[in-house]
Amino acid sequence: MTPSPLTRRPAARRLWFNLAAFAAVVGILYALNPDIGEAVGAVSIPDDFVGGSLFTLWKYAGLFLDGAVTTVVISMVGTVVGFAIALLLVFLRLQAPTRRDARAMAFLKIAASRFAKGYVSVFRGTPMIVQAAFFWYGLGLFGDAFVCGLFVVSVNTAAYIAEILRGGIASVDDGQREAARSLGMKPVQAFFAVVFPQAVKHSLPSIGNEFIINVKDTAVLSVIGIFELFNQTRRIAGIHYRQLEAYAIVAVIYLVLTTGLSKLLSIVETKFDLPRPELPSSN
Amino acid sequence: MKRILAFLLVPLLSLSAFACGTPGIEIEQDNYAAIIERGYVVVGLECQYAPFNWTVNAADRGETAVLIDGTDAYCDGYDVVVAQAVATHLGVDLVVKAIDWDGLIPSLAVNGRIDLIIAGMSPTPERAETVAFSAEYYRSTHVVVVRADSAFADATSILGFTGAKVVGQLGTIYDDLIPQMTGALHENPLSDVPTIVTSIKSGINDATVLERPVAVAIIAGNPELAFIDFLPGSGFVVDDADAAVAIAVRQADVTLLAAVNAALAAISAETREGWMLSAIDRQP
Amino acid sequence: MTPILEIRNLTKSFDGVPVLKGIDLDVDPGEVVCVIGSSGSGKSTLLRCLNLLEEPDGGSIRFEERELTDPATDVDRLRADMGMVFQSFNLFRNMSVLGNCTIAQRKVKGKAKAAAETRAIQALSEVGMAGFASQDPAKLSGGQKQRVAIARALSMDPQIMLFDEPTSALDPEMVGEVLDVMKALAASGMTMIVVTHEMAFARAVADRVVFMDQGVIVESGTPEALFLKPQEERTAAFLRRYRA
Repeated sequence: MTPSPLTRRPAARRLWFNLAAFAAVVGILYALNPDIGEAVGAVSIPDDFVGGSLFTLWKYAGLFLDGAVTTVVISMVGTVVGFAIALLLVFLRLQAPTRRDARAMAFLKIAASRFAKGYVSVFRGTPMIVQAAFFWYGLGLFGDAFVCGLFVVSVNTAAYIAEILRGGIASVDDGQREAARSLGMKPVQAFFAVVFPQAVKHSLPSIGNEFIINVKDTAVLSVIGIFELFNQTRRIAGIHYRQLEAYAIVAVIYLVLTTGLSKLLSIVETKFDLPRPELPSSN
Repeated sequence: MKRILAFLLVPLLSLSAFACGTPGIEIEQDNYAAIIERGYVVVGLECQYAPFNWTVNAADRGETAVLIDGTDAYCDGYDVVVAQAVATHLGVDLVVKAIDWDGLIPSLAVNGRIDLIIAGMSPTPERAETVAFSAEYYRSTHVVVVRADSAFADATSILGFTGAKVVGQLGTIYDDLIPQMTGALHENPLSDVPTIVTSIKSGINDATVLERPVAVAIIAGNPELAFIDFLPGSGFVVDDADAAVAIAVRQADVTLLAAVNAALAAISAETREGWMLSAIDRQP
Repeated sequence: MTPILEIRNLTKSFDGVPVLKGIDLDVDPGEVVCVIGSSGSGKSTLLRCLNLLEEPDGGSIRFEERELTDPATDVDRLRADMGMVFQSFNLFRNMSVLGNCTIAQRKVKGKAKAAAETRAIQALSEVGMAGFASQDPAKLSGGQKQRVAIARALSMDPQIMLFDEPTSALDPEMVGEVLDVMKALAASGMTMIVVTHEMAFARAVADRVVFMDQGVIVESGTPEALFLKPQEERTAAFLRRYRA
């Protein structure tokens, strides 16, 4: 189906608006400091903000990029591993004794459910920066800060995704389960073949949000000395004792990362016909 | 069902497999032999305290710069040159870890993640309760950094800062010296020097206390700031231990400490000053 | 003839409110039983107790010579022999039409994919939906959905089919196509219990009509007897209300 000119026009207008806004920003920067070539090529950092920022961005682009890659990798792996742990948590959380269970089995099921509930409470109820400091400095289980950081993000994200999945499972009409049971499927079969795939599909947009939240929240891992984007920026700021420029640049980098990833996820959601979530906020 | 369980358990188990292993160090023992055997010594510093130590791009690094463990960036500065000299004396490779100031001593004495702190640290009695210090490897005077256009830029004595908001770095000698500036307002300390510099530039604070080489490095990138040298008698009264900087080791590492002292003794006073001057020169 | 299903003194209450107050009912093989009654009479609960979607409080249900309420009985196995059709279809939303009709064959009966699909297509043909096998159920009309739901149950080769108000959620113009499928099924000799408000269907198809009110079976008999000469005043009152 070819889009009619009527539906195309707003998109084109938006494109022109974005281009104009971009040109305006470039124009303002140029007006503030016409010697862009000179700023980026300078031997020492220029005194003014725009020149200093351009110099910092140009000269330390590699360091910023390293930090950004580390941030995205930790966020992504943390979200994926967190999802896997969340599956286990939800499985434990949903255990409920039935009349047909023996006493020991009933006890086990209650314990499993309580454990998962407690896990979610602890990891959602404490700041990630405290969790990071606890596992790294406190317990000292890890020899490598990066591995410790991955662990912290994973176990933290697991708590949030477990709640998302639980909500997703609750949102699946009970008739789906009943239909599966009425055909002779066992509870586990009904859950994994029918209920759970629907719950995951409902939950995927929110899980994508957790990924974007992680991109921002992993900044707290600087406390255990991981060189993600924020920590890398602190070192860059220390080279010339110029924080304003470095933090202005990193703010823009974070913004580009989060909006870019949001856009990417929304394309995926449209493609797979998933419900659109609200904009992500911080944990 | 078993397949599903396995699918769930694998990531968990692989996570817990990572959860072990500090680098062969026993906190309570003398690790000299272990370090020599291992072939490298791990040094902790901030990498944001020029000219003692700062971060540098791979592309811009000089011969003295050393790769920061776990990153693609390098660390350079006076401390790195000294660390290299110590490592060479020990006959091992140098590994550098960038660690925040308040994480340095725990990383050395509690977790054993580093073997030495060479980070422009003064050997104060309080720190000496937790770690052991080498002989000094640099000594300097303390100056006050202000905005060049501020009313305090003309002060000639540390008593000339009445009403000024003075801030120091958390857990450092700088913060401890501020009470000597009678009449000044002692603000809550901040975590690192770059943050302190920003707070003075933006007018949140008026002044800070730093060692002279650090002040020189700051002024190079921030011409709107200035530092004030004081004549003898009008400056800070500093304990001998506080005026110097020294290398920290674990208290049980007696053999290592002796070797570090031997390495430092081999460096003349002229060589030290030359290293510091060239570090200030190299600092971007 | 031995009844395929024997229900004795079945009781069930929700939160202390009795819904079934001792139901006795036998169903013979090939028999079509229609259960009628006003909302809240307990007729849907009765149906849902038969395959233990609701666990009864007391009484016995014998199906294929086995006691369903005995904890030792493999209820899942027996459920596979009792097809159920719901008011709101409950087609699996994460599968195609064909997937809906094969999943239980494969999971419960352990059939190979090809065999399950062959049986599914056959069942879909019976309800006139074979052409929609690869469709997403969400894109079907209500009548089409319910026909697929019937095919899904038939794919399991059940001994009895339970219908829980299968046309109540449908737009009026779609009721006919579903009832036609059910008539054909009844004509083929399938044992059926149908909870319904479609009196014309009950009259035309049922071998026996059961009238329930307030948790008890008030009266049962042939359609002619029950509709034309109700013995109980409550039955007569219900039928009058219904016609008015």
